[in-house]
Amino acid sequence: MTVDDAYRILRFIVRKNQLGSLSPQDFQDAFNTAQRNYYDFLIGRIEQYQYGSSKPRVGLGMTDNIISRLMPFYNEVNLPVFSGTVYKPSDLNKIYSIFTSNMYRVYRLEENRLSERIQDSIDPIDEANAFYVEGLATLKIYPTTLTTVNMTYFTSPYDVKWNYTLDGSGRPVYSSTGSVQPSWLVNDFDEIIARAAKLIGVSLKEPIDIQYGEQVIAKGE
Amino acid sequence: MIVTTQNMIDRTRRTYYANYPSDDSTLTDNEILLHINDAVAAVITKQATEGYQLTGIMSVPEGYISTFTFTSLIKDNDTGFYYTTIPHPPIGLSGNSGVESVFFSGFSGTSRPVLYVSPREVDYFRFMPSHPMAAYYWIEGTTLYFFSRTNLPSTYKLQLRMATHVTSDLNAPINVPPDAIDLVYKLTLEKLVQRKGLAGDDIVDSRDK
Repeated sequence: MTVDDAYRILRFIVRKNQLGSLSPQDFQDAFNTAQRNYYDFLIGRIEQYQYGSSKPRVGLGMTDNIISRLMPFYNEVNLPVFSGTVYKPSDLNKIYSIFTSNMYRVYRLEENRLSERIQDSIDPIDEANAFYVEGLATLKIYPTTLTTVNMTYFTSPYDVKWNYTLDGSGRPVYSSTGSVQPSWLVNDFDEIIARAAKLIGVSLKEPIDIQYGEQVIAKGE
Repeated sequence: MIVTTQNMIDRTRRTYYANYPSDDSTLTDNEILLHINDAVAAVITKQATEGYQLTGIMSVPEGYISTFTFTSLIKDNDTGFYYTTIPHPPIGLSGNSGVESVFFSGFSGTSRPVLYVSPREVDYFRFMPSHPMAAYYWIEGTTLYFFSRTNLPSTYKLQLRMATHVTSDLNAPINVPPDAIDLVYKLTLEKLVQRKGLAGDDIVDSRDK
């Protein structure tokens, strides 16, 4: 499904409810916000966490269905380690896994357990027991003797762009050249469009669109 | 399939997590190995005690026995005792039954057994008449001491045959009789299930405990 398809469907919903036109910029703003919202929903909403249970209602790793839906944003890289420091990929949003070249997992450790872990007498700090501590732009990797690690991660959705040229009457006509297409799988579009419709409904103070969006978010399309 | 210690670790982890463990699983091989070692020691004691109740003889099933060789035999010049460090204290069965035998090698064969003397009696026993070729040993923790009437040639090695609950090779067949493996496995899991039930302050999302 192209960005033009998404725009067309959203215009259809807006027109149906007598809300007037939807400009390309408004569509892009609504769709991009909606897809970030949906992406966050698939990764896992932290507001659904409860004390002692860091599990959202829907979240990454919960089912293979969710992971499949996030696959358009999946990436894998081999990263050099500089004296125990790895620079995060610039497009990283969520780390999925890190492993060494010999296929040992590198597990996540929080800063407040680091000293205890380093002093631990049961597990040596070696490749088979490698771990990392996350920082803003870097990861601290232990053991510091590792020279490379492999990382799989998810990027954020790229902002879509509905590019256009003006016809003789000054009306925008879709141009695939210069447009940025959404990356989602086909079955996710309706979820995103519903969220976009809700945003437009909020913008226009139109309760029917808001209601439609909320229904889809709660129960699916 | 011959069961190795690594098999036992992997099998325990797979049962504990009801699948292959995920990358954020916190249970490590070494932690499981400690529990397996404890379980093997407990099962050795159980089987030896049960055997004793049936036969009146305290002995350890052969499946647990290993022979260790020691080349570094140091003489304490103050006491005249030789000593060496052994991998772990013997299993605490009564009558020194955790140790099967001690003897020397390093001269195209083996010596007669080095005789056991209780640590409580060694200071008295040392001054008792004995055969000039006889040697006597006792163990304190992980140190095996022995003395003999004659000086020990430097080429001599000490061999210690005893029940052991540890291994240095995780990929070697586990030193447990096949009929006792299930008991070791159950004891290990029993300890780990308690661990799983403990509340923890973990902030990693959906961490597999």
